[in-house]
Amino acid sequence: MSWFSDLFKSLTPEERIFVWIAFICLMGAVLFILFLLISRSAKNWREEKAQRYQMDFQESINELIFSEDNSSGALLEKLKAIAGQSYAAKQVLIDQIMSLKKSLSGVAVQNLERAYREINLHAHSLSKLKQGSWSVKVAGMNELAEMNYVDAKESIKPFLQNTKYVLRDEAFMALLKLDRDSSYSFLDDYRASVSYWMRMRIHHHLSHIDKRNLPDFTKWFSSSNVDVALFSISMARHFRQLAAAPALVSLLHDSDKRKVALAVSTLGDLEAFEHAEELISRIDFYWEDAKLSRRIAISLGKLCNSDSQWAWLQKYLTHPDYAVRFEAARAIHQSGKQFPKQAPDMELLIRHVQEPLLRAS
Amino acid sequence: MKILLCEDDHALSSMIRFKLSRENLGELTIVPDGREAMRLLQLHDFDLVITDIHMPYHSGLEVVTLLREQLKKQTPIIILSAEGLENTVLQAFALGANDFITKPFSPAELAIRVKRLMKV
Repeated sequence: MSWFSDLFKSLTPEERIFVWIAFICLMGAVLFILFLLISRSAKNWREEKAQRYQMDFQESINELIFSEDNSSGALLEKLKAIAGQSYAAKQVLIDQIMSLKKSLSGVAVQNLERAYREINLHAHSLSKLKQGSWSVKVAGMNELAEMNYVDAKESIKPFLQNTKYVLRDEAFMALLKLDRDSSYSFLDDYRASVSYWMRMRIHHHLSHIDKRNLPDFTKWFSSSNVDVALFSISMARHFRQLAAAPALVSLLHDSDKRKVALAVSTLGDLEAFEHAEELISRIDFYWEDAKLSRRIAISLGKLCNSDSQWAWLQKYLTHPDYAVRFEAARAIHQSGKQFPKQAPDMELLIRHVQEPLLRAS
Repeated sequence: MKILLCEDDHALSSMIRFKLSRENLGELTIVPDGREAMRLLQLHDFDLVITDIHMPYHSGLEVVTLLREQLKKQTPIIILSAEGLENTVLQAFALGANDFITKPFSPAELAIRVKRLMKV
């Protein structure tokens, strides 16, 4: 190596720095390639191992799906013995059972759920809830919910108050699936915000259940969590819970304007004609608030059914905000009623509401 | 009797094989994708085809089209799909499928439908 040492000594300081940098980069590249190769090999090894477990489990699972209660003991013991070998084996078995459960119905599903409980796989899923990583916790909740392990409700409930929204979302979805008698009872104590993702998933869930089993959302209209209250009002509106109208009228006096605004729109969408007078009684109170006045004008357009009520709506034609005057004019135009002549910009409003390109808006 | 099952979910295809062999419904050939299914259909005759709709390379509907329009074979076809949309079901029947089963399904129901189509 003396030739290398001599060569290195003959270099200028700048050249030496360059050689060192080149050496470090080369070593970095070699280490990086080694890391890639090792991780790829480890991944392949894990996949092969999972495949071996899958093949070991598959036959017993097939038999278990079609077995009677009294003949499944030996199969369960066999699966338990293999699954007990390692953490990975348990996970492969859970994934395999869940994958089959998604495609099957009837007795087969009951047998798979029974197997999950009797092989003690729920303990594996419950242990995930105590781990540090949020993704592992989410996977655990998902497994417990998919496998219908009802006893997990109490272990999942604390996650509803978690600071991480993903955990809150997954917890509430798991509880929706597990708590069939009172699926939405968790909203009673829910303190966090209701994200759009959560709303979307609840809506998806509600759309797939028997509409007769929908909860009475008025229970949460006065929730101390404004997000829960707003969400409940929007659900009552979406699922057209007409019985919610009296509770919505009470909300017209609420101190939170977001609740008032949603209640006003919901009354209009529910076509709660019998409550038009209550809405009219709030016109003067909210006159200064253009956004609320606009919503009241839109809803009144759907609810007015007497000349005296239309006269109240016409009052909005003199509102200082153009958007409010426009909504009032549009409602009057759509009803076929005559426009009063005294409004200041009546001609402009009439032309605006009659503009075909704006009708759909 | 020879049955071709085109299904990319290994656990599900294994369960179906178990159920059908338990009912003595013949010899089952399993393929994991549409390309392999189309290749086998061109090479061999089957008494029944059970196919998923969403598969790698070619969909179940393409398999039906190949069988009915190109190969001009009247082999009974059962479509197995997680998608129960009216349009998809109608399209499958219009292309020539004989039956449509929406996932999740009961394995016992599948066996009955297979027996009915194979007139066992």
